[in-house]
Amino acid sequence: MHISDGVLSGPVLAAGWAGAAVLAAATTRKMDMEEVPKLAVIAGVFFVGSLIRFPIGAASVHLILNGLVGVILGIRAFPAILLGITLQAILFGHGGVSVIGVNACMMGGGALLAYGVWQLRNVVSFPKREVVFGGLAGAAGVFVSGCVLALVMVTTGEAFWAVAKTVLWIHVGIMIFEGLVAAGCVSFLMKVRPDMLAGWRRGGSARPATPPVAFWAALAVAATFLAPTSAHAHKLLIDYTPVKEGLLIEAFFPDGTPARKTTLRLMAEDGTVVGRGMTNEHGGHLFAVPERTDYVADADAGMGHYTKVAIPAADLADVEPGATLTEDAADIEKTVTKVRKEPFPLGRVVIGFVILAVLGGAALLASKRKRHAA
Amino acid sequence: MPLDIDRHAHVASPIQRWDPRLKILSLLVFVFGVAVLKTLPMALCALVISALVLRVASLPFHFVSHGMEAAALFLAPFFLIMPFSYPGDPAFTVLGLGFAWEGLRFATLIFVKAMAIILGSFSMFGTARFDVSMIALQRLRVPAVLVQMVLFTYRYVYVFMEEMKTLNVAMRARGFVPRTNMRTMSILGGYVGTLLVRSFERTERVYKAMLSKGYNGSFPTMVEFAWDGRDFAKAAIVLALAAGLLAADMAGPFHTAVEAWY
Repeated sequence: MHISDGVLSGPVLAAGWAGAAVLAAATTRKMDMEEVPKLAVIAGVFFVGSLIRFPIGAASVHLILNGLVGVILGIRAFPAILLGITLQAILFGHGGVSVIGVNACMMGGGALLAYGVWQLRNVVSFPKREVVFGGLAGAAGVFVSGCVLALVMVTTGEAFWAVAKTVLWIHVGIMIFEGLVAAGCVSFLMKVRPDMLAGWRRGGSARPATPPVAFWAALAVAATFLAPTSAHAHKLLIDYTPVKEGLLIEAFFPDGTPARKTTLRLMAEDGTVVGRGMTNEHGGHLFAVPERTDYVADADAGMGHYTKVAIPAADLADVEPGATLTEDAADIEKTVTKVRKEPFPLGRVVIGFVILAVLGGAALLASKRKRHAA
Repeated sequence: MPLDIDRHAHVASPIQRWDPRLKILSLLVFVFGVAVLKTLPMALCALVISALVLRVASLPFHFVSHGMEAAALFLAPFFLIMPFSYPGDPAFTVLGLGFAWEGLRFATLIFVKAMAIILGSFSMFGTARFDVSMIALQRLRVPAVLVQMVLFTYRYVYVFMEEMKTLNVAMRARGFVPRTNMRTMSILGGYVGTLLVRSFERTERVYKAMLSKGYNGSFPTMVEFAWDGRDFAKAAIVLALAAGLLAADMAGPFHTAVEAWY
């Protein structure tokens, strides 16, 4: 499943291209000329794999196969998937030219993480572990793609949240099928050409051929999209200041820029609209207050940017109810407006990175310990 | 689903005669410009421009309809979900769900933009031989390794499709009917595995043959590019249109309360 053109915002598209470029450069390092045809083959199979349909009742889904590509190619899965995505965009118009970057991060990131899962098979030892981990890797590939897809939508705008949730659930369903097909395929390859699978060594009990670079690469992708800056910068905030003539309501963005031409409404608690107005160039609008009761104010900047705030009657002690706004209302709007800034949620970002690092470190430690034991 | 994107490359038209490097570059700028539009009237203008370019290149509708169908399929849920999930004031309620016109407008905007971009990219790559387009990309500083892999893959895709047909016939001849059960899934797994093994072994043979014929990691080509004033004029027109769309989108009279959104 890949995202279509025209949905995502400029910064998300740019982040996708940047992420794809970095990952492509990182995953094609030290590549032999001999690997080019092999990559091209797997990219081709990935491409035609999207034509294989699996029936679910009356409908049908097509295979994604990105996890399987990770299992076969290791970190070289990323360039192969980038190729497949590019061809799908050029030949079929599936996905699209402007979203090649995002789609490559989405599917390729899934493939890299699938490779990480596949490498974990060396940590345990039980019969048929290849089949089990192959299936898990297939499912992980789709799951990560679904998460990244939902994430890019969520970072684009609040209007996408419901769609993103639906998309995530669809992927959970597809994940099961994809995992089972991948398990079947890995079990077949183990019998026929085990050397085609990534990290294969003669004699069976293989150690990872490469350290789990895939983990770090996949974490890097996740970090690109988890970086909350773009979502953060577009949250709409609202604040109010009681003044003598009425109530000044201001809409602004977390970086302090005022939200201009934003529709503001002042409502009584039962939802009846008391006043309606458009913010000026400072992001503010002065409302007359009929009486000292509880109010709710909301702001709608369009495109899913909506927020509201409750105004308790206690805050309106200084306001003269029923005051009619005079010409100097505009002056008040200018003088009271102050620059606001919500601090960047550095703490949350740091916590996120720490969690990612701990998870990655644990995986690394687990694989190291296994290696020492062997 | 025919794969040959370049089956209308031989038609004589101003787009087909356009230097592929300039064509790809300027249409790419146009496509990215469309991708960041945020007002519906400008998106509609972009769609009209894309359709005009397609018309000038005399590409028939059925050539692009498949790509449009795929995008429409992906975007259909947006129409169903967004009007009911759009934050803000619902205009009326349907079966207990609030319906917001703004949500419908947003879904339409996305849909129109997607269609404009798809039409644009079909005129980008559907109006020159595929290998010529790829060499043009290489001249535009796309890494040679990537371009070569695309050419390899493009060539193999046809072979694999044939292989898939053979496998399908073999499976049907043995009485396989896909159903929603475990057995179908493990058989599909084997099917993908067979496809992989066969393709892989074929490629190994092809690669050895290529080596023995002197392949050293590069494809020599006889394709020569030349641009003249007319090529630059066409590029200037497309770039001006893209810039005009963006300018009108950002500062124009259609600009309502959308400053908050990219």
